Parts: sequence; structure tokens; C-alpha cells
Amino acid sequence: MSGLTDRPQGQTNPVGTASHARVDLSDWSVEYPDEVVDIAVPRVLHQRIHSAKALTFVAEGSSIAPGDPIAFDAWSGDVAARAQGAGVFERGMLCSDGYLALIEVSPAIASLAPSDTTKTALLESLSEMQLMGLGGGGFLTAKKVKAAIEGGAEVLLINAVECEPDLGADLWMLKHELCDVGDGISALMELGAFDRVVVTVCDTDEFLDLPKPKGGEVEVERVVVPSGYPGGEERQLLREVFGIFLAPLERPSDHGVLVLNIGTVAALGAIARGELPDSRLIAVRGTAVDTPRLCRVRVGTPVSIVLDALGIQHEQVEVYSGGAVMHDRLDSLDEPVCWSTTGLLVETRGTGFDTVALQQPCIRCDACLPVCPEDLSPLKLWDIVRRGREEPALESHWLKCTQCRACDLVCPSHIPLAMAFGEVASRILIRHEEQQKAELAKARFERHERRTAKRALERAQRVKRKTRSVDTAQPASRVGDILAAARSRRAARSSR
Amino acid sequence: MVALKPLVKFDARIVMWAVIVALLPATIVQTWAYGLGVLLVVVTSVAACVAIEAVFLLYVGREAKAAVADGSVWVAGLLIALAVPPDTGTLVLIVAAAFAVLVAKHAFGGLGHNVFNPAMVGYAAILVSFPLDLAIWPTSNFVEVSNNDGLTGATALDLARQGLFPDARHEAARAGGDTTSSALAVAYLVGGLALVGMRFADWRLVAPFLVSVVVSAAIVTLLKPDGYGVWMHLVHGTTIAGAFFIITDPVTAPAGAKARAIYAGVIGVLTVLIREYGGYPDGLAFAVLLGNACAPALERVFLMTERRG
Repeated sequence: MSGLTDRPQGQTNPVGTASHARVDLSDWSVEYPDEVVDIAVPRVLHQRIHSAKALTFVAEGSSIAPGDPIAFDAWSGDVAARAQGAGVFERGMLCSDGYLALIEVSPAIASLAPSDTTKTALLESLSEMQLMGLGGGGFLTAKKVKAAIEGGAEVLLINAVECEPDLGADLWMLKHELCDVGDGISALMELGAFDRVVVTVCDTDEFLDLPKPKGGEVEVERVVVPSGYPGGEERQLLREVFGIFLAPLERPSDHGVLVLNIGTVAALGAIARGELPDSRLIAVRGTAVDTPRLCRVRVGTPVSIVLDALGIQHEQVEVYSGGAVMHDRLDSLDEPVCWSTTGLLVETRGTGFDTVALQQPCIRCDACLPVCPEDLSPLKLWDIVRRGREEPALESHWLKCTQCRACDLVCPSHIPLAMAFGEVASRILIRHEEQQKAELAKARFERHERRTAKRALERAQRVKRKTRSVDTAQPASRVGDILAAARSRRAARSSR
Repeated sequence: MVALKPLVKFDARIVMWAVIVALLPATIVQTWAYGLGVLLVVVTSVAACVAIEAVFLLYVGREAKAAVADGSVWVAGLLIALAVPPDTGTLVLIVAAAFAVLVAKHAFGGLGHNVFNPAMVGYAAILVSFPLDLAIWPTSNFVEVSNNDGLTGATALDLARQGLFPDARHEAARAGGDTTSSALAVAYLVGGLALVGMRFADWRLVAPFLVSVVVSAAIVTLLKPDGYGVWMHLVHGTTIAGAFFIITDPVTAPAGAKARAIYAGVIGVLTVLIREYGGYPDGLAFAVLLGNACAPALERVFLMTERRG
């Protein structure tokens, strides 16, 4: 860990070199005007709760503050979700992959902000708000920051590199919100003992200013990474900036690095100033959007309201959440904008955006080899998937795949490689979980067996001791005589 | 996740058709040199390959249209046709097509799973089965230009090898004077460079192969001064055609830059060795098949499922 801080520090770090060939997606890049569309209109927040379990909700009409429990597991009664906004709980309803909680915002409660900005209060506010990373990964920021601080992280890496070519929020933050980012860095410096603060920027944004924390106690370094896809993926950044190769399922905090998206740091800055961040920047573009726009949208706002604000007709569009490469189709326009919603791709129906290209056999052209950021061999892994021979020795390779789809992008046979590898990884994780459960059960059974054996042994020893004491008291008498004497004594007692 | 917009450098469905288009200059030159018989052989060979593919797929109950439309059997048929003399019999071509489609391709699981280059399997099968049919080429229409007996291709190499070439002709061929071979080489080069330029063919296979042929031919020439010579190895026979159209078959080549370089290098060396010391005048087909056999091992050695460490 100390090796990270031993590196020569400077304004620009020359370490940022690509470890693999990035996919050139410059044709897909989108220019956004500097002016942001402010969409803070909704009076009803929609909070999405991903859950496969049955949930119950708080009573309709209850007043709630951010962090208050709103949904509970129907069986165990455990808290399943806490409110991300403040207002009056309207109702909970089923949606495509879980539930939607509708909260009617009351302006008086909405302005509620943490007044205490001490270290503990800041972490508590973070936990209560359920602020998630704004980079799109969907990790709880409080959990991430806590783990890094408790693990003694020494380096704070602020990621201002957009992973997707057609998103623009990070660049906008670099241009316009450096003050908030600086406040966020100051707050994080108070929370943890960071020796080094690094901002990663894309080579096209190399000449922009860097954020300055208030105290000026630490110099913020800039590391320039080459443009191309995938750009801002955290495992890859760690490798390119620090030369750290993360093992599967390992987190940067395991190596003393806290990686946060620049938007998340700015939100932390707002919290530290006593404000309540309730909105995020999203990029709205696509064939149905005349001018691509960056919009500041309150988290929980239904997508339909965003489309209305931009004058986009609902009927003829398909909306995808995410970037050009990694996106999910929204089943309903009632789906809310979440902390992890980086953008909305609004496509006119019938333009063939979601047309699946005909999959061809792999022709082993090896185009997928140089673009894999994890140095895997997708064509060999695909061969294993195709043959259905998943070797246990290769488990770590499947788990390493970040499903960035770089291989999908260059595959001339249109094979959905990332999806196939993701399925294998899921199977492995389920298998691991089952193995862990089985091992726990085995350990429990073995403990039970040991206890039973011990008890049996103790009982046997007690009987033996008793027998021996009887034997030593009346060495000459036979057991039958002793029993007969005992019986006669009992008979005498009972007759009395 | 949903489908991605197409961002591929090339599409697997059009790569084979691009190869066919790139082979057109060579087909035209060969027809010009040897007459319309070349076109007849091309049509027969391609038709045989396509028909065998379609009948086989229908027999096993699989979709025949898409497989025929991917163009792979068309390429195999065309390559076989360009490798044989223009008066090759229909039966011979059908045998080649059957070996290429049934043995080399479908016995291994179809396109993408074949270990051996189908065209080379078909050609090698008829080369060992009907050697006489493939040995005699008619007089080239370029005779008056090159002022020789018009024999070219493998036969030219064959004659040179057996010492039947008149010394002057041999020397002229060594110096690049055989116009038919040179014109064909240029035609293959033009189509091949276009393929490489459009990234349909991998330069990482082409370059090591050509370098390997030149270097090994130079070494062999030092050891065997009466051999073919470097220029003849490079221009005569199937060297240029093989470099751009045969060893660049990605399915039968190993994946990974190192493995590909070694694979192409091995085929280059084997081609020269078979030509100089082997039983056949032009060893490319056998060299490619031996290289194909080595490809899985090379890939195993040089390309791990995880390439770092």
C-alpha cells in the first residue's frame, strides 16, 4: 500500500498509459451545450426498489424524511429500503424488476438538510441519504467511503473519465463544478488520512483546471488516460494509474485506494456544506432528441417528466438508461431517474436501434484479444462456453470479466460474448454461495457431532466413575446383591 | 443489455465475399493466360462445393440457405479452381469439393470449427489422388511475351526441380522473367493488399510468411546453389496467393500475434523445404495443412485464457 504514495508526485503524472487497445468510439461522441436544463419540477418522487422478495410498505400518508424506512420484507419484517427523498408516502407498487415507491414531495420537508457536518454526522448523512455513486455502478457511497476509511486508504482517486463515449456529465463537472468537487475533496480529507489525491481525466480534457481543496494541504494530481472505450472503468484505472491488478471481486479499497466519480465527490461537497443533494446530471440524447442536452434532474423523477420537459413525444420512442454501449431498456416511462442513471438514450421506434444482428460462428479473427481491458482471451472463453466445459481452474477469469462489452463491439460475428461470460460468472457466484452454505451446514453438523460425541463420552465416563465407586465400596459383593439391597431399601421406604 | 450498433471493423458475413472479389484479378489473369477453360473450372468447382454443402445441410436437417450465403464454400471452390489446370475433369473437381466441404469443414463441426483449411484439404486430396491430371498445364497465352514454353505455376517449379528446364529458361525464371507467373503474382498481390488494407486479411500472417519464405529460400540457396532461388520461391507457384488468401484464413490460424507470426513462419519454412527437398514441386498446400495441425498447439503455448502472466 505504501508503494502508492512513494511514487513521485506532480501536477501531471505520466503513468497514465493504456494497457490495452481501447475501442475507438469517437464517432459516437456527443457534444453537449454548456447550458444545463434544470428539471426539478416533480412533486412525486419515484424510488425504485430492486427486490425479488415480497415487500410491504409504510402506511399511505406517512410523513417521511430521507433515510426513513419505507419498505419491509413481507416475511422477516427487515427494512428493505429507505427513503431517498422527503415528503409524504403515497403508495408502493410492483414494477418490472421490483417495486416503485411513490413519495409526494412536501417542499418544507424537501429542504431538510443535515445541519451537523462533523465527521460522524457526515457519514451518517451519507448512509441515510443512500447516496449512490454517480458513475453508474450503483454502489452505496457511504459503504464505499466507510470501507476505505476503515481500511486506511491513502489515495483518493477522483474519476472524471466517462466510460461511455456519448455521456458528458463528468466533463461538465470538470468545467463548471470544480468548487463543489474541491469541497468534496476537503470533506473526504477530513474523513480519511489520504496522502494523495489524483484526478483522472481523458486526454481530450487534459487542459482543464483541477479542483482545489480549501485547505490546500494536498496537491491534486492529474493523470491523463487515453480516450476510447472503456475509459473510466475503475479496475482499469487502477492498473493504468498505479499498476495495481485487482483480483476478481477485489475492491480498490483493498489496495488503499478510494475511487469516486467526480459527481459523487461534488455531492459530498454539497453535503459537507450543509446542503441536501437531491439531483444529478444526466445526458439525454438519441435519434428522438433534436439537440442532445445535459439535464439536472431530481433523483426519483419519472423519465416521462424528463421527456416532457424536453418536448419529446412519448408514443414513438424507446428509452434506454445508460450510455451507447452499456444500457438497459426501460419497460415503462414511469421508471425513475436514480443516482446511478448516467443518461437516457431516447430512440425513435422503428429505427432499428434494438435490432439484433444475426449471430455467426466465431471465425477466430482475434479482434477481441487486444481490446479486452482484463487481458482475457474472449475467443478462448467463448470456445469453452460453446463446448459447455467450464473448468473450475478458470473460474477467476470469468469473474474478472467486467462485461464492458469491448469484445462485443469488435466481434464481426456479432456474438454476445459479454452476456455469455456474465451468465457463467453468475453461475459461478451462485455455486460459490451454495458451497459456502454447504460448508456452513457441514461445520454446524460437525460441531453437533462433536458435541454429541463429547456428551456421550462424558456420560460414559460418569457411569464408569459411578460403577468404579460402587466397586471400590463393596469389592466383594456382586452387582445382583447390590441391586437386590437397593430394591429392598426402596420397598421399605415406600411401605413407610 | 440490448443489441449494439454495429461497430465492427468488418462483418463475418461479408468477409468471404470480399475474398471472392479480391480473387477476381487473379481469375481474370488466369483466364487471360489459359483461356475460358479456367472459368469453366471455376464454375464447376464452386457449383460442386455449394451443391455438396446444401445437400449435406439439408440431409442433416439444418438451415442450408444461411450457410451457403456466408460465402465460405464459394471461396473454397474458387481457390481449388485457381489451383488446378484449366482442363481438370469434373469428377476430380467434385472429389476436391467433397473433401473440402465434407471432410475438412463439416466433419469438424462446420464453419468456425474446422482445423484444416478446406480448400487446401480438397486440393491436397486430388493432388495425391490424381497427380497426372494436375501436373500438366496448357500453353499460356503469354508465350510470345515471355518467349518460353508457357509452362508455369507448379509445373514450372516441377520442371526446374527435375532439371528439365532449359538453362536459359531456368535462369530467366530465377530472374523473374516468367511473365505468366509474375502477372498472376501481381494479380494476387493487388487483391491481397486490398484485403489487408480493408483488414479482411491479417498482415500479422502475411508479413511473417513472406519474410520466412525469403529468409529460408536465401538460406537454402546458399546450401543448394542449383535450387529454385529466392525470386522463384517468392513469385512462382502459390507463394503470393498463399500469403494473402490461404494462410490468412482466421479459422485455421491460431489466435494471438505471437502464435500467428510463428504459424506463418513455420508454413513459410515448410513451403520452401518441401519445394526444395520434398516429393512435391510446390509444397504450399502440405505446408499449410502441417501448419494447421500445429495451430492448436501454438495457440495453447502462446495464448492463455488470461494473457497476463
